[in-house]
Amino acid sequence: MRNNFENNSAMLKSAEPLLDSADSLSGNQDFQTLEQLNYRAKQHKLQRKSREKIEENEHKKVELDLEKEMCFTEISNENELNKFLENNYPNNINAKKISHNYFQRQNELGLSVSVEVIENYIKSQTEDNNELSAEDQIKNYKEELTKQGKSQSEILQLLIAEFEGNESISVWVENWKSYLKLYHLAESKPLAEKTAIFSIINKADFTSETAFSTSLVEISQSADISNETKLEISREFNGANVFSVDDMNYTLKEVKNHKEKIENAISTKSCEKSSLDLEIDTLEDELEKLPLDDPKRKELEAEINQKKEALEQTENEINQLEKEKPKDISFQLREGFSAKLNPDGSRSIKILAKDFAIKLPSNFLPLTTTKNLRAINLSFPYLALKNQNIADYIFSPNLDNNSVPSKSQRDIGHLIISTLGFDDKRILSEENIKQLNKDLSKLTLGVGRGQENLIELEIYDISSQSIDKTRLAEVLKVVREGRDLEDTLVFEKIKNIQTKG
Amino acid sequence: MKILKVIAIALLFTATACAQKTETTTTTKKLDYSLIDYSKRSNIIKHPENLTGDEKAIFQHKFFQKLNSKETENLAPQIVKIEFAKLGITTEEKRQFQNAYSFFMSKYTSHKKSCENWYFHFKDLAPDSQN
Repeated sequence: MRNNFENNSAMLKSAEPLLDSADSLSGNQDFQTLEQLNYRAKQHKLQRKSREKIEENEHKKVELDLEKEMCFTEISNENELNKFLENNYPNNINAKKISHNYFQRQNELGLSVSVEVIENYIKSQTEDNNELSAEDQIKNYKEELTKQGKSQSEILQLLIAEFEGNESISVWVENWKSYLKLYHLAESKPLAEKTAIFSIINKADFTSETAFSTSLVEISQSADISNETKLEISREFNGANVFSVDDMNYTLKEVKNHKEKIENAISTKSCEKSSLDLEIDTLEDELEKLPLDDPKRKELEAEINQKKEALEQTENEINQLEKEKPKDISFQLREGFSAKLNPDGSRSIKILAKDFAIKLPSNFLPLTTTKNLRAINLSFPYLALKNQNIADYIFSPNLDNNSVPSKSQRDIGHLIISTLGFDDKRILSEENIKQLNKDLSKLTLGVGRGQENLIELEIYDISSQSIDKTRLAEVLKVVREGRDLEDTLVFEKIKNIQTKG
Repeated sequence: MKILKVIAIALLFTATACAQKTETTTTTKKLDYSLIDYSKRSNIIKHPENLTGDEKAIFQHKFFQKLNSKETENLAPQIVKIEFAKLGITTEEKRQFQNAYSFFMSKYTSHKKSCENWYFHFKDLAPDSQN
């Protein structure tokens, strides 16, 4: 700062003789020609301007230096801390309390605190306080429900309904939901199975993200639980707990085995039925040949009736098995989306509402997991955008039904998902999909129709008939950052980046 | 004399019973923090297994693990300094020390509060307790 001041002073000094000479010349103006006078006046004006400019620069520099001085990096006393808080956290009582507490403790140890450390500490404490306040909300709500005399099951259901979607306690809510469902399913099972499932629930760590999948593995390995119950649980829950390509393949394999098992049982029962049919025919023939007063007739008639009863039972069993047999090898991956194993061995994600399937790239070759994952996750933004009639503009060329999406289509899906902050290294959860739908709905907040909105947001270029990926990412970033804001405010913000762009 | 003896014994029994009752009431009201396992995850530290360096050392330090959230919050700076020194975190490396101290006072203390919340207020909502 001092150097700058000296430099500027030197510049001013160097300009002074010129100004003096100009002043002295102006005193003798009577003896100058008009041309000379004009020239001097011009020079005079220029020099004044230069002086003003130098002065202005000097002021700016002094101001900058003062500002720098204000932005000290170390806070060594309470006054400096207060000054820092006034500048950076005006009227923020919470920040004041947090930072003073931290500062006093450091002071006791004879340490000054850097601005960076104190800022990070305030940020971290504020985040934690928000999380803990969510827990307090649950605590209070739970106490209120208990006072009302609600049962635990009711309390749990009400808590799930109230706090579903609260990010900070999502682990608890998800576990409460899954275990409550499993608990009710187990209640209808025979005593031995019920006991085995309850014992697995008892061991579960409800604060763990992986608690439920661990319990599902334990159920699948339990010798006390029948295969039918295992399959029922697997079909009921696996969809919701399938987050990787391997999980999906495993579940499809399970469904395939289940289907094959039923088909085998139907085939065995059908053989039994044919054999019974044949036996009944033979016995009836035999009966016809017998004289009416033959004592053997009664025996044969009884045998035929017995066989007919067995036949009826076998037919009922076949009908029951036919009902249980899955029509195809598929399971519900997410609400409205099913994973399917096609007869040719390929796999696809079916978007039920649109009767549209996205085929997954073959996984016979190594390193295809990312390709597979992106093709699966592509189905979620695709449906959201399709519902808003803009999918065909975003994914250009259009996605074809029951075909493998191209790399560029998968990349767009990835761009949307990752820009919105979702983890694209796993299959999106139900919660993620809900948020994704909400986020993407912001693309059509404008007054126009689908394509018009994209043009208005400068995402779609009508002349080249293509989208500007950078622009799309910018818009989605604003959408992500404005999740807590009103739609109108988000749209305003999007428009602002539009004008900046 | 005999009557007096009987009355004295009866009074003694009543007094003991009353004392026992009061004691039980006090113990049921008092929260037993020793039952809480702070080495487990919480809503604040969701993946303790991912902690590294000083944060991991603080999280796993036996002395700190025994403290409840209030005790952690009110721990005198000098004691923290002594315990940090045992973990190789000294004031000579000011920046490292202060980062560790920030973690201790914010994340670690809040983690304990969250563990306590779970144990005292939500654990009973696990379906197993409905059995």
